[in-house]
Amino acid sequence: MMLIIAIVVFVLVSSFTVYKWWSWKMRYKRRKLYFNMIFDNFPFPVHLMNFTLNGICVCSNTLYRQVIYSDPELLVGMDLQVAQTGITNNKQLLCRDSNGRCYEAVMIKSRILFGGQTYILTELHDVDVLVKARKLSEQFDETENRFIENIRHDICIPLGNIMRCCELLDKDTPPQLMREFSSIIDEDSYKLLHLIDQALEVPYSHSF
Amino acid sequence: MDIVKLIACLQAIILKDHSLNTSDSLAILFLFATFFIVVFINPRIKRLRDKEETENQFQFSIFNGLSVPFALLDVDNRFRVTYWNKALEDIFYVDKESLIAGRDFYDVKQTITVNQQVFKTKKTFHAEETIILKSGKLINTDTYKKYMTDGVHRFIFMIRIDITELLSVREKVRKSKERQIEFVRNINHEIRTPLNSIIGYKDLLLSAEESKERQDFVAIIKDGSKRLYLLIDNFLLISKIHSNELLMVSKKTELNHFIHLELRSIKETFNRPQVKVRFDFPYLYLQIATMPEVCHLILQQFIQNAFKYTTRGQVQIGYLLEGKTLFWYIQDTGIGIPQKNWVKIFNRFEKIDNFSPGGGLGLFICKELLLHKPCKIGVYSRVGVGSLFWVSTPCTVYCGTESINPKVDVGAIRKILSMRQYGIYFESDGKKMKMVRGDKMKVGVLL
Repeated sequence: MMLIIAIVVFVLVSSFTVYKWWSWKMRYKRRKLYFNMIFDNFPFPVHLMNFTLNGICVCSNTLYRQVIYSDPELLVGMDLQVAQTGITNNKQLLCRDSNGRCYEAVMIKSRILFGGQTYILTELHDVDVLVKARKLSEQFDETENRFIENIRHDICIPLGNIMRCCELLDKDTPPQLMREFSSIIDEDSYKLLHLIDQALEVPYSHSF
Repeated sequence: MDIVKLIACLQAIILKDHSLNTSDSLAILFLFATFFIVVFINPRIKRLRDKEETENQFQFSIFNGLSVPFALLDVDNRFRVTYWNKALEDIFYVDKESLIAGRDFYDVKQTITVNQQVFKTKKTFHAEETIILKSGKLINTDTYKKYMTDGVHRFIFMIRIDITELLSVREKVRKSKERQIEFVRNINHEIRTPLNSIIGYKDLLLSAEESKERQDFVAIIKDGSKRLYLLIDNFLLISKIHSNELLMVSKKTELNHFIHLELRSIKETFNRPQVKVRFDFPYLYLQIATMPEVCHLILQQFIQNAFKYTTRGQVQIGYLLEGKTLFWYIQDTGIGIPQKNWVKIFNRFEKIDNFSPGGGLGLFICKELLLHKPCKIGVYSRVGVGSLFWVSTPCTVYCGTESINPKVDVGAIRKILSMRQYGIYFESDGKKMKMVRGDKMKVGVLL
């Protein structure tokens, strides 16, 4: 009788505890897996490193492993600086991904303190489109002024000629002189018209 | 069963008493084994639990360190948000309480269908979405959704990157592109028209016989060339302003004399005998620090416009010193400007009356000139009654505040200037001119 009860107690208790142990173990494993999965799901390169343990990589995603920096010297000392000061560091640099596409990216490094250890989180954000758009808008702002400055000289000379001729014109001007004036006006006005025609083509050449 | 018996058994084992039967000893062994398993495994479970807790905290701190807002939506719980990081809270100013209650803060029907689609097809969703925050603000986001599972829980992983800046820059590029095309088209039109008239009438002049005809043609040609000259002059001025070539040095100037001089030079070019000019100078003389070139250009444009559109009545020029701010104004009894065109006239190439001379650049130049200073430039006008243009600038007064002009009523000037509240004005913030509506604009009072 006692033996049976002892066996039953043993089976029940041990199976329950072992099951609990096992489930917690799996849960912990899943938790780790889940963390890696989230990291891998980010559509941009992410990297997490333990700065205290000689910069060992805790987690990183596939995209990060494929990125090549065109100028890695820019990043020298960045980790140390971030780890010491704790100020988030943004740096713009050129990157190349696995497809060979070159793009402008912003590298954001931030410090995370946890459990007495220093972690550094690195993100790379593709800002290629934004940078290009910004450049373009600046360019557009500039072109207008530059355009006027460039044609200032070209416009002023023929215009001055026309103005002077017009001022000298009078109803009593002798016909011969008038003919001369008119030829000057003719020549210079066609020059001006030609210039304007050229100017009309300018904005279309800048289209993207 | 009996504890007494159990203790007796234990005693027997310890004392190496062999009187125990086998079944009893086996039972005791089993019990011991159970005891050991519990003692052995329980701390391990506890350690694992702690480990997971720290792991959780670690992961949360890492995700909170991310600059990108992201969230996890629970598939089994009607796509409710189960986790979100700090960036999401910061950027989208999410109402924390509603999140804790488990409600999706982007609770739009469309997003739910998108979520379901992502879940069913297991494909990544990537698109630009506009979301409405609780505060009513619209935000453009680059949304990225993906289905993921760890074997037990099923999630939709979601990232929303704020791309409002990108869109605004794109919009800016589009606008400036349009503006440039418009600009060149306008140049084309504005230069071509007078040039064509010059060329055409020059040919006619050659063939004209009568003296009167000739006189007309000569007048037309001269008018055309003058318009051309003015236009190019204005263009060059704008380019000068943009490239900071203009002399922006402040000098000591006597204001009354300065305005008189400006007026005299312009009045002669317009033949308007029916227009009276009235000066409202509250001081007999006033010496202030001004930028003569800027003041000259602005006054010139204002006076020119006033005379251009006024055929009878009066033009009233004056200023008023209030503390450290100087208000200039010019009021005429001209044709006036309808309210819908008040903003328009400050734009480049905008003319209300297409047949009047001028390139439509005058007020645009004035606006550009005042861009880098804390100045205001404004207008109030009634059709057929007249218009008021005013500028306010900060200024330093040297002397002259004691020489009060007894003939001028300051109250009347204040009354005129108070009209500005019914109109609009432009205010610069160092980079851009911002349009501001006057406080009482909607009321509308006769000038």
